[in-house]
Order: sequence, then structure tokens, then C-alpha cells
Amino acid sequence: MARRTTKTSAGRRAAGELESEVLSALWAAPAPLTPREVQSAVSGQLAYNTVHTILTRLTDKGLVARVPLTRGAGYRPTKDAAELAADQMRAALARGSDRDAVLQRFVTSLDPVDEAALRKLLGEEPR
Amino acid sequence: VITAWVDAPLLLSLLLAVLSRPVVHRLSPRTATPALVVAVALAALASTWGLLLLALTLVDDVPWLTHIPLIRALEGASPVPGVVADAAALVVILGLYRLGKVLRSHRLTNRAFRELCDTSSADELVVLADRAPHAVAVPGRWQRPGHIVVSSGMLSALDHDERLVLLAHERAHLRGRHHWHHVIVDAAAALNPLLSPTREAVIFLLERCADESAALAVGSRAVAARSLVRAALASTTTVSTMTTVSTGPLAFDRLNVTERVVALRAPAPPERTLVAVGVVLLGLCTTLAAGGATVSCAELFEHLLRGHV
Repeated sequence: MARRTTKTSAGRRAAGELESEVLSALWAAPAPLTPREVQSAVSGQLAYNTVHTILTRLTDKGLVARVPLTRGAGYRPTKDAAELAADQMRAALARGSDRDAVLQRFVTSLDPVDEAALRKLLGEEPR
Repeated sequence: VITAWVDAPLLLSLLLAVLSRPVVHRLSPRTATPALVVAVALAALASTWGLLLLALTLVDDVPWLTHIPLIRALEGASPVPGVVADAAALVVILGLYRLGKVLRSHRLTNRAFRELCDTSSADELVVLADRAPHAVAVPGRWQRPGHIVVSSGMLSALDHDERLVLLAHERAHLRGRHHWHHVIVDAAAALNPLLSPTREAVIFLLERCADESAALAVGSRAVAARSLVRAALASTTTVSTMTTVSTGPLAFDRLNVTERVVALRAPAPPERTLVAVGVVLLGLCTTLAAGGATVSCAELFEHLLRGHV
């Protein structure tokens, strides 16, 4: 499954990573995105053709669906695979007992004091 | 003499536990993590081996072994009080039981998540249709790349740069084989509960390692910190349908995100290699002590053997 391109130049990322980036951008968007919109939502240095190739590959895999828009075509993530995955996750979590100790999570939730402190922090950060 | 040699790894484990806190805060996670993992593993092996030697002096109490002359000679000649040997045996047995439990829970959880990733056609990113924000790194099988499992709720809570931080963070876990570090310190703490604080320190440091490489990947510590804050706030405000996002009663867990944010907002910590070497040496001391225990145990048996023949 690991389809990785050889690194030809500095800063060039593996195909799998670019796919992740495009897929996550599509999931985060409220509506289907055109390849142009994907291009601007992703790091920006990606060529239009590269974005198009990635979108085609994701469509072939069934992770993304092509939808006709008023002008051209847009892409949206397919819910089926993600819902299946979510169901499997639920089942897996119901079975395991100690998963919290085992899994490496991105973040854990906060208590009110920490939450207030972090909110203040976020307010200070220029977006 | 054996008891003294066995006490040493236990005392050193305590010292390691006390030292792990300052090490976490003063050292770059990239140097501190491997040093602590090595020290913890050595300390756990040494203390378990030492306790095993103590427990070994109980062989003269095993009825079907007393016909062996050497073991009969040990009767009454053992320098280890019976109570100490009993306690050592109990600690070793409990430790092995806890070890089995920890390894099993790692195996089961990883298997469940790998099955989930196998059904997905994605190369790396597996998205879950769940409004609650969560993200985990799922290590791959032998020589295979792992997967990043992220909920749709997490992806929509973050902006583009913040999503890159998230992906880079989980990728760092996978590339750094943090899963194995996690297994090693869990196993060590199972065998020797005195090492639990050090285990927690290492788990925190693994997150810090991933945070630092994510900051490097996006080229901004501030963006990395912001991503953490936003993800944590989203996790707190959304109630999960999966009951995954649970806060442990441990203060460590609770402080986790805040401490990581604070660390990212401070300048990058220095690479104090000398201190890291010191930590590893501390681990090596436990090995030496275990060696000492082995030698004195062997001398005891040799002495008995000579006395008998």
C-alpha cells in the first residue's frame, strides 16, 4: 500500500503525504472544492496538475467523489468509507479496555482552568 | 551481600523517577527520550533479575528439589531471610502478570486499529465520520508504514496550517517508532512500579518529540502551539459519540496539553548531551549492580558446593 515517490528535490513530499493533505482539506471544507480551490487550500506550492492527479487517484480509490458544479467539477470526500471506519472504531473501542493507556493521541481534553488559560492564549495569537 | 546488590537497582529506579521530572523540563525531547528509555529498560531488567536471584534462594523450600545435595546445603546457609525471598518472589510474579497484561492490551488495541486501517484504501490518512475530534497514530506491521486515523470533527476544527501540524505530529510518532518506546516503558513500569513516574515522563516526551518535529515541518513553533490549543479546545467542547475522549484522573494527563503548549511557546530546549549520557549511565549502574548480585549469588553457590564436596 505504501506508494511513495522518491524524493527528487528538497521539500518534495511523498505521494501518500500529499494525498493525506488533499483529503484532509476536502474533509475540512463545508462544500465540494474545485481543483483550483484545493490548490489554494493546500500548501500553495503544488502544481495544478499535481493536485489534479492526486484528486483522480483519490477518486479511483473511492475516497473522494466527483460532483458536477455549475462551472466544471468539484470534489467532496465520500462518507461511506469514513462511516464504515467509524463503526469499526466504535466496535474496536467497545472491545478494548486499556486503549487510553496504549494509544498515542494528539491531545487529551482539558479541565476548565486549563481551558480558560488556553483560550486566552489563542486570543493573543495572531491568526 | 546479595540483598545490598539487589537494593541498588531499586534505589536507582527511585532516583530515576525523581530525576525524570527535571530531565523532561530541561532537556530537548530528542535527547531526553532515548536516554530515559534506555535507562528505564536497564533498570527494569536489573531490578527484576535481582529480585529473581533473591527468590532463587527459596529453592531449598521446594520439596522435590531437596534431594539435590547442593540445594540441601543451602538449607539454613542462605544469607537471605525467608521473608525477603518470599517478598521478592511475590513482586516478580506480580510483575510478570502485569507485564503480560500490558503487552496483551498493546497487541489487542493495535490489532483492532490495524484491521480498521486495512479496510481503508487510503495510503496514510484514514478519516472517521465522527463529529468528536480525535486523532491517533496507528503503527504499521513489520516494515510497513503506519496510518493516521483522524475524525472528520478534528479536521474541520483546524485550519490548513493546523491540519499540517496534526499530520506532521502523527507522522513523527510513526517515523520515530514511538509505539515501541511506549511498549518498552509500559513493560518496564509493569515489572518495576517504581519506574511509573519515569514511564509517564517518557510518554509525555514522546508527545513533545512529535510536537517539535511538527513545528519543524510547518516551520513555526507558534503555529504548532496554536494547532494544539485548537485541537484541545475542540476536544473539550464536543461530546464524543465514541466515549474515547476521556480524561484520566492523573494530573499528568490533564496538564499534558497545557505543558506542551507552554513548551512550544518557549524557545527550543537545548541538546544537553552530557546530561543525557548521565541518565544512561544511571541505567548502566543498575546493570552493574545486577552483575554484582549475580556474582555474589554465584560465589554463594560455589562456597556451598565446595563445603559440600
